[in-house]
Amino acid sequence: MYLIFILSSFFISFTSFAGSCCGGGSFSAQIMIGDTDSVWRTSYSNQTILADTTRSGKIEYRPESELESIKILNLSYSKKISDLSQWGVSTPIIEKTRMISNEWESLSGLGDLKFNMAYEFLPEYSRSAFISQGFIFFEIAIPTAPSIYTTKRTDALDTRGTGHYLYSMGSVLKKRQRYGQSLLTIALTYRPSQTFKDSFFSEDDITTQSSLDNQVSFNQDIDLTKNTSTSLAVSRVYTRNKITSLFANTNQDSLTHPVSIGINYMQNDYSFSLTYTDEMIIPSGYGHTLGRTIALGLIKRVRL
Amino acid sequence: MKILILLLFLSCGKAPLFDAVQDDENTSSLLELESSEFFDLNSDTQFGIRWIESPTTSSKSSFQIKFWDQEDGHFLGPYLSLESELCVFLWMIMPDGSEHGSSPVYITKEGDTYLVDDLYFIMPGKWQLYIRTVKDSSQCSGTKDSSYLDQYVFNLYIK
Repeated sequence: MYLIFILSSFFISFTSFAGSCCGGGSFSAQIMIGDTDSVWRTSYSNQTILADTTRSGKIEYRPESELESIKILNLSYSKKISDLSQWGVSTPIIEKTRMISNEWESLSGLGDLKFNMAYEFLPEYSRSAFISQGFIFFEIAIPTAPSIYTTKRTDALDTRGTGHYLYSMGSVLKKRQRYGQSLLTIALTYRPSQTFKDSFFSEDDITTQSSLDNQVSFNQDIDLTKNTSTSLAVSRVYTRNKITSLFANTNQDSLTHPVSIGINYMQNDYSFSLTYTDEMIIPSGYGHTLGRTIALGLIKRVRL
Repeated sequence: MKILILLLFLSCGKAPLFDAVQDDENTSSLLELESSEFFDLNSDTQFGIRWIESPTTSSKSSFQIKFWDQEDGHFLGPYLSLESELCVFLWMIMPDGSEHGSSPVYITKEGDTYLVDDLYFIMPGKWQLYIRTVKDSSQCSGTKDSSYLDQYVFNLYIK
């Protein structure tokens, strides 16, 4: 049973993908929950943007020529600093594919780097009746990738980042059950205002507005066998002020509800995962792109 | 790990993993804007355009634009030389509410003919082409909210 618990505990990730045109808000956090010294993670995701939700919530499906593919190879690492604290780094390599003059064209490169710190404020041995384990985490995303404000390409196919520093903090709460575990993740992301010079889109300087975004995610793992578990995750991702709001000269918020199902398999110090995420199952969102994603994950843990 | 890297780079230029939920819209590449048509800038002035490099996402586009007085002229001339400044820019409004323009265009004038060059339709979809007159070039900021004297907006669908 302990092995099964470990299996689903190495890896927490929640992600909202950027708006397809403009390298919009992107958010993720990865911390290590298992009783290990360090964790290496590799994941490959393949997302297709299939639709948009209007400001009033209406879904507008994209024709074939306007679909967009976003593939991400993400490498991340977490290591314990002490019994209760850890740090981590995440490096995405992103490939975007879009139809340009009736041909599918792709461009790949480094995305925005992320660093995080986490502290286990409610250790597992404290044995709370309601929460088995609790973490607080901080993350900073560094705009290392081209964004809609810094691109020099006339098709903007290289916009893999937000162009902004993103500061996130949040908490992960875990409840163990006889048949699996539940994870509740709450996060706030602050994006400060920033001024861009020499933008492709304007001869004048462009200054974006700040935003405070939030995300809530609930994940339920169910153990199937000693080495296999399945998971279901439902998230609510709210962006108060999209980075492209300045173009519309008004504040624009967005809401989306990604739903994921997955299966995990563990062998010795490795675990493998296959996840399907669909942003079109719960339609009560607005102002956001909608897509479907298949993701493969490989995790190696290093024991204490 | 090698397999994952291979999956990433083998996929260059391939169609997305999931198909479109519904068929392509039955739209021509240009919904509106035929070179043979004339348009009203205001109650006195008409204009016509001729594409030199047709709208596309793969390279720059350009067109000529000429103005004439509705009473004293027609599409064969005589043409007007505008007293105010000509301002042209592209704009896109996406279904999710995102809006953006494109890079600034380059306008030159030869006699009574204006050449609008360096138009970049940076992605497929529904675009607007703004033709404006402004008091001076400082009002031509490339955003639709800036002030202007007269305006005509074309709707284009770029595949």
